Amino acid sequence: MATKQEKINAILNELKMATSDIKGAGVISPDGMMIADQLGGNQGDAAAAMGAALGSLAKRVTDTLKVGDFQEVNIRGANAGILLFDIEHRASLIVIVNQGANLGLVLLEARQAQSQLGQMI
Amino acid sequence: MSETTKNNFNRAKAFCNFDAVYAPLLPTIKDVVMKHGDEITNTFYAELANDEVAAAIVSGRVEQLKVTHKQWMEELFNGEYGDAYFAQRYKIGETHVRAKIEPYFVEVITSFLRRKFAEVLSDNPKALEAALTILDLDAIIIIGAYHEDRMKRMSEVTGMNQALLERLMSFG
Repeated sequence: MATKQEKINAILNELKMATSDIKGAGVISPDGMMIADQLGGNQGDAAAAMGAALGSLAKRVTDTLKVGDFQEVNIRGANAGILLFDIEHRASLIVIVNQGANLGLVLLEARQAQSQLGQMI
Repeated sequence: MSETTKNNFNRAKAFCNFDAVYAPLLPTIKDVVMKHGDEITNTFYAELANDEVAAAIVSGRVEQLKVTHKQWMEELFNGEYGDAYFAQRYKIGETHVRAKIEPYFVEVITSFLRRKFAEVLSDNPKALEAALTILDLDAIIIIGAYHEDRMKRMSEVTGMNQALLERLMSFG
């Protein structure tokens, strides 16, 4: 029987395989620790901390502006994009996408992963 | 919420072997120092009155604050510096925080008392060491209360828990 870690990694792996626009993905805790890292590169710890900070601030902003529960953040960089999805307030899914990615497909796949992770974490 | 400060207090005590070296000495110099208690307290509040911000903070309750200050000074020499002492000093720190007294003034009074203690204990270097050490320990606790309050407020305003804030700062 697969461990929870293996199941989380399988979801991330499936997400990455869904479209070549997704460069990497990870699941991070509210404390900024990496739960599962398929981001690539060696910035995992920093990415986890920054991602958790982003999620916390986003939640604070949505609460303050009364726009409902925080669900996702979309950041566009010059060379790539970063998407962050809340997972039942217990974790976040971070996804790195290529510049000019097909965001329709990416969001569809990422939200599905978000839902699957929400049932597991 | 005072665990970090409590750890720092205990580490600082261990660092200078406070409980063995200085704690037993402090009650023996209580009378010597407190003989000058009124003078020290009065001088401090007179100097504080020259600072516009401080004068506004203490305005209308100087006499009451002098009593509290003298009591605080006296307690420096009680000889017990365990958990109860820490808890009581931390509470003083929290009171300062709630009153929005800048930590600057805690540092100013500590500095002031260092000079006064040096004057009244000039003929007893070991006693002076003990008095300065307990002043430093008190400052660690009171300033610690400010630090922890800032972390708490930062946590509230950003939504980030304290573990995350510490982790982020470790990347700085």
